[in-house]
Amino acid sequence: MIRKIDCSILTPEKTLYEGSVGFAVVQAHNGEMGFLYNHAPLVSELGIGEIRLRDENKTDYLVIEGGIVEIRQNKMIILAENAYTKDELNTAEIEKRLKEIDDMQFAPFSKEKYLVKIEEQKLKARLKVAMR
Amino acid sequence: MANQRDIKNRISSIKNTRKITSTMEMVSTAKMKKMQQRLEMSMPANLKINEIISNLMGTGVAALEHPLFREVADPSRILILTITGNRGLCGSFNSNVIDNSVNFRDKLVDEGKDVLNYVIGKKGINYFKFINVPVYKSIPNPEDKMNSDSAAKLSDELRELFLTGEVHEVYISYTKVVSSTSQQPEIIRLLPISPDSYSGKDPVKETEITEYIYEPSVGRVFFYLLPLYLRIKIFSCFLESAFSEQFARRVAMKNATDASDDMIRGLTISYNRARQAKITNEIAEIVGGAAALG
Repeated sequence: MIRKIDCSILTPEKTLYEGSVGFAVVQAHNGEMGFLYNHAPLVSELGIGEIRLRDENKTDYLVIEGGIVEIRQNKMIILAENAYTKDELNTAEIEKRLKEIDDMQFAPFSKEKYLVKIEEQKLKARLKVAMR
Repeated sequence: MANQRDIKNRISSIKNTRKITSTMEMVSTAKMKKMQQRLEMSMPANLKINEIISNLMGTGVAALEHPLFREVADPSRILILTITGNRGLCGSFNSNVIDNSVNFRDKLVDEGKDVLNYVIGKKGINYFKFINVPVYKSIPNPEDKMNSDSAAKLSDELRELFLTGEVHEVYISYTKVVSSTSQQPEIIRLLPISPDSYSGKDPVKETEITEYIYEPSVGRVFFYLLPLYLRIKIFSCFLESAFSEQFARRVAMKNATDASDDMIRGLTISYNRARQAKITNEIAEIVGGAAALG
């Protein structure tokens, strides 16, 4: 018997990934969360981080920037605000942007600083996936 | 009767116009296909979020207390987001949306309400300028460049306005895609979110609501979902409008091309008639002249 989860990753613009996987790890709101076959029905908020989809001998890496995961009857659906596959990411570009952010100056506690901090988090998550 | 050369000039000018319209038809057909693809690709997320939200509503969470659901007893400041195109030559696409918005606005103004117009697309902006109605804010239609990020920005802006109490209600006037061959202008209320706008769509589902584990909690998940729901909603309104625009343009251009075909046919017939009449006339003159000599 095949013990696999049907997995699809949706963004508002398109379906990013579709396929069956043996084991999935997602970045939940406060840490990573793993899913195996026969998981109880669950809905969880997601944070900024990577998704690992392991199937036999290959692992797919994606980066997700917020969203929600739903699993029910071995169907996993990730509804992402924004997500990229590893192939879509460009290491050099991300590093360049990170450097730019590093050089920026902000007044403490300003809104800009907060927004840039979030962008930095996203970029770091992207970089991590891109370097895989 | 028009002479031969006049008719010939008209034929050639119509032929030129026909070239332009048939090219535009092809261009908008291609663009329409692209928009249709994007629209189809965005559908799964749209359906899924509706499903999750109605599932959440089924859990009976006290979600209606969320500020995004807050109804003002007597809404007096209302924002209408009108989505039009940047360009014309698309039949009644723009005027339908604008008419719909303006009628709706007039109705609200008659009720003594303050209406803010948020206009998207150059056609809408120009029209509001023309009828001298103040516009709260206007941006050109991003067309192909529209992505979920810009939808997110716009929805955050509207949400902010709503939450600060700047406006009491937000409506979107756009062109809804009923099916791939029929589109119609529609006004929907975006904010406050009405609980029945997504629940009860599929009553069969009610029986099969699954008991989920919610992480970190039902309320948190729900509150997290709402802004996402707004973004997806706005994004799909934009996609639907863009698709309708291309569709309307294609139809308009096809009609123009067909009409010019008819005109060319008619004019060619009158051209041949004029030519024949001239020849007949000349022959008659020659024959008449020969008879006079003989």
